[in-house]
Amino acid sequence: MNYPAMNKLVISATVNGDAESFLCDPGTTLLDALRTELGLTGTKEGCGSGDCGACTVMLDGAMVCSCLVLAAEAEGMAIHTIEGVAEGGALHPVQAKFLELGALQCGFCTPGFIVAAKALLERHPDPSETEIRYWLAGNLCRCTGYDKIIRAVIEAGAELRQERKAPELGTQDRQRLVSDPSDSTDRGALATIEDAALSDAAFEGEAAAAKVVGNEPHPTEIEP
Amino acid sequence: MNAPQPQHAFRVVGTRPVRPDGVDKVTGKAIYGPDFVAPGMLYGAILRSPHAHARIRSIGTSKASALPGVKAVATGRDFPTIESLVMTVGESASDIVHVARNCLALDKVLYEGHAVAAVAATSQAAADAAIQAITVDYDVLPHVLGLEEAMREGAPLLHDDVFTKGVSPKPDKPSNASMKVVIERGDIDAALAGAAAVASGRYTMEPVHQGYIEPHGCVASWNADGQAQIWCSSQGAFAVRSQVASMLGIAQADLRVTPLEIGGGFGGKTAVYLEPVAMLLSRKAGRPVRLVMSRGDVFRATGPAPGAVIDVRLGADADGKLVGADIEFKYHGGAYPGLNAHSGVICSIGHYNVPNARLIGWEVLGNRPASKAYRAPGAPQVNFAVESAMDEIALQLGIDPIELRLRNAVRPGDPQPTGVPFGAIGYVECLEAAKAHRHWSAPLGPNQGRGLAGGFWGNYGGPSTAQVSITEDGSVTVTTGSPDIGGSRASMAMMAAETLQVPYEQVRVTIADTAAIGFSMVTGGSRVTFATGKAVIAAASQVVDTLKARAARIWGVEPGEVAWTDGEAVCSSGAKAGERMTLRQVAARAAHAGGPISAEAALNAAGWLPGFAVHICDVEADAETGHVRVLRYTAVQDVGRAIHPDYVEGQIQGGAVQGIGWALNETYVYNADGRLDNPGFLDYRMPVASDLPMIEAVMVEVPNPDHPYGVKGVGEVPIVPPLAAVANAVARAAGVRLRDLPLSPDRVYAALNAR
Amino acid sequence: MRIVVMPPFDREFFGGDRLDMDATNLFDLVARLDARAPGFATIAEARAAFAIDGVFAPDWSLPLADACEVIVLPRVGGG
Repeated sequence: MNYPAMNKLVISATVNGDAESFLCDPGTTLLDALRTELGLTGTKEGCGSGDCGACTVMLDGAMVCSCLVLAAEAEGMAIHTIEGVAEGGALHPVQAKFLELGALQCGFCTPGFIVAAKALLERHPDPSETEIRYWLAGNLCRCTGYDKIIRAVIEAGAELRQERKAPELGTQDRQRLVSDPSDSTDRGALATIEDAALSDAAFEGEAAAAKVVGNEPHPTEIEP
Repeated sequence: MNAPQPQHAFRVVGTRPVRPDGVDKVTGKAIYGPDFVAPGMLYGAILRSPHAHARIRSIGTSKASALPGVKAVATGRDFPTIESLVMTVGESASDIVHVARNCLALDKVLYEGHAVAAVAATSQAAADAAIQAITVDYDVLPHVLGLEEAMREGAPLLHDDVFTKGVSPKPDKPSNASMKVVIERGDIDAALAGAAAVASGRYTMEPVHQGYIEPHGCVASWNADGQAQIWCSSQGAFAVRSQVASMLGIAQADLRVTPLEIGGGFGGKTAVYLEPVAMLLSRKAGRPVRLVMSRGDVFRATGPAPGAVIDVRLGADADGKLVGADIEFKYHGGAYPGLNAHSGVICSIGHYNVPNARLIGWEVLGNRPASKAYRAPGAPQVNFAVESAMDEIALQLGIDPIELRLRNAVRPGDPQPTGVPFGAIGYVECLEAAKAHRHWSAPLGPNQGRGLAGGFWGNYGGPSTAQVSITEDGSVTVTTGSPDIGGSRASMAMMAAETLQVPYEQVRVTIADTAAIGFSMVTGGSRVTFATGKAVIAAASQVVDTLKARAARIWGVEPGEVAWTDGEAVCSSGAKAGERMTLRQVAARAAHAGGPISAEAALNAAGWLPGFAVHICDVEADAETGHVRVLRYTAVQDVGRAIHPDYVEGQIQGGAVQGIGWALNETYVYNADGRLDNPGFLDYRMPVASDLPMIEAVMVEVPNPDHPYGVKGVGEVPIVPPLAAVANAVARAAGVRLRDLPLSPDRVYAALNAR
Repeated sequence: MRIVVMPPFDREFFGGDRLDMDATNLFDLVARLDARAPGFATIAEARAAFAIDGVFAPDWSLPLADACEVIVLPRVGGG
């Protein structure tokens, strides 16, 4: 319900570390205020009913769907949005791993996933695959089937743990540390299977030679 | 340049670099449909029909117009009178008059959620309040939802000017059945009478939605001089331009459409809904107008994929060779014709050689939103029935499901149902890869079952334009008109880099507006990496020729004496033999050696090849709750050649999961009044991360000889096999076969307890 | 040359699926098909595709050999 005739409220809050004030109607959601009043359109509306997680932000350290919070409720609180996840010009490891592992296609749900995944890893530095899947169950992605998102969060967690262990190391050293060849999620070498039965079935000619490339071994075979 | 190069020759193709638009998308900077702001912009809202079928007696807008902040009100009467014109709309053809009526109803509303009137105001709140002040006097009509109900004599008729196409003689009475497609060969009844095994059954499903997370959104600005701009998220800015210009009677050159980032489409964003309405409002108000749908609007009023009733009889001899297929399906067309039942007929048994067949497809209208393309449109529904029947034949004859399919699979040279022979396809290779995969032989626990299904989709090529330019410092820009819906900027940059023999990072890609680049067909039909890729490669090849010619002029030798090697010009003969000039050096001197270096390729890409896939699914069925859990999933696909394997795997994984959702959870639920009962993500249950295992994507590479790098379309076929793969797994886990989707807990529970 | 008309165009326009006619190229063929079934030309651009001797022909200007077979089929783009 909207109240266009009513007077506007003045809301003061900290947004990504900076003091901000904005005007809003009493019925305005935090999502609309962020997007319209503050121009922070990185936070997305996918449903407006708290079912898709595209509008996920942090409010005084709590993960919320900003479409379900009134802007007026944020008075005096600290809001963190996707725009504040990277520090200066440096991407957060969750952002970097999303890019490195191709964990986004259209990218629309990505801000919500990144805010939620960062919140998870801050609370729980070493989550299992199942824990990641349940933590992110409130975020809908229609493009990826979640596979690469889960892998990106696993790898970002590993990188953050290394960072904590070896704060003195530079970025390149950290990357080397997490690129363990025995790591099941390492994509360094793309498995190439030239199967005899397959070669027989393949029809003649170089152009037609079939090659089978798999991604990674199935996780159930790694973690029985 | 047309023969694929061997794998080892590639320097960029097949690697996994970071996409060029990636940082914008992980930091929230990318501007999507609902994000764009124009100076002085107004906010729009649309009033939608609460009725499934009604005649509009009158629309009262004066109260709304008088409200503070309201700058414009529009109804269907504001569209100019336009003549019937069949246009290509994404994947299929629609009458532009129907498209206009769907954007704003005239005289009749045909489904709950049908747009009736629109308002533009100075704030969203004012616009939302104003549409509540519009009064519509409806004469409510009887409605029809079901496929067979809509085909019955005396059923409520949606249109009095729609006659069944594809029947002879031409019907003299209008019908809700808008199209019939029949393909017959051999003697189907005799073949099935003589078959050793026949699987028959009726399969059903309600419509499902594409489920993109970004709702439709646009901003339009139509000036007093008749020129206009639209900023929108769409699978095809050019399709928006042609449809809106036709509907509003303006020249296409007067309308500049800028594609914003697109938050998913899957076929559903090949259509226009909001853009013409925003244009009408903008023209009246003299200011830019934004329209954005709510999620409820998206579910109620945008294109779901058709639901279906499918009757199938499939027969095989004792060796498992298919002898006959008798298939008749009816697909929902929704409110307007435009679906193409043909694709369902072609894809039904197109992946097998079947000597005798009677394949009948119907498109049937009803009081639902007009069906739109959804990833391999028309194929998953009928594939569910056919691949379920294949599983039954495998069980009846005691033949391994993969072996059964291998005995019938189409190979290169075999005829497609259209009579056109298949080219270098890889269905057999996919089946062999599935057979060899460790998943196929892994042990199963109690209450668990393993299902397998295969499928195909024809893919497409079509028109695309691309421009490749060399900057003064030797870096490269690529410009196309193909919206990047899943990482195609990366594959375009990779193919340009491969052709120019330069590092990937040296190439940057822009998706241009409709005034800045020539025509490209929509991003859809699994065509962009293939067709727009061909245009990019062709333009880059021309640039290589120009670079060689420029280097020759600088050296004072003949063009034939310069080779392009490792991204550098190399003089091959004469006094300068062995001298090299880098791309940067040629670029810096280009202005004095003939001018800037840039090339455009505009082509209608032919030589596309179909995609084939084989999926393996393990499920566990909970006898106490009827809940089905997917335990393991492997998707094998012939991808031609993967340019960027991460994004090819991503297409396979995403398509498979959409199919899993279709199989287990997703369905439109209408009540008796013809109103949608589940227009939100809470009740329209798409898969979430905790529902799923990892999806193993296995890429089989049978290169396309008609693409320089071997590309085949990969985006659509992954949604074809999952419905049957899941259902076959449930049948083997539960010992009962379910033929109605979704396989929801209540249905599975009932089936388990009826054993 | 032999013209094979696939559904739904066979029944929608021509009352049959086998035609015999000569044409210099596909533009000419569309015009001749339109003369036989008025209205075909207006929908051909949006709805039809052609295969010449088993190969899709997006270029309608290619000359047609007398002995060739042309299949007229619906265009399927995809999503």
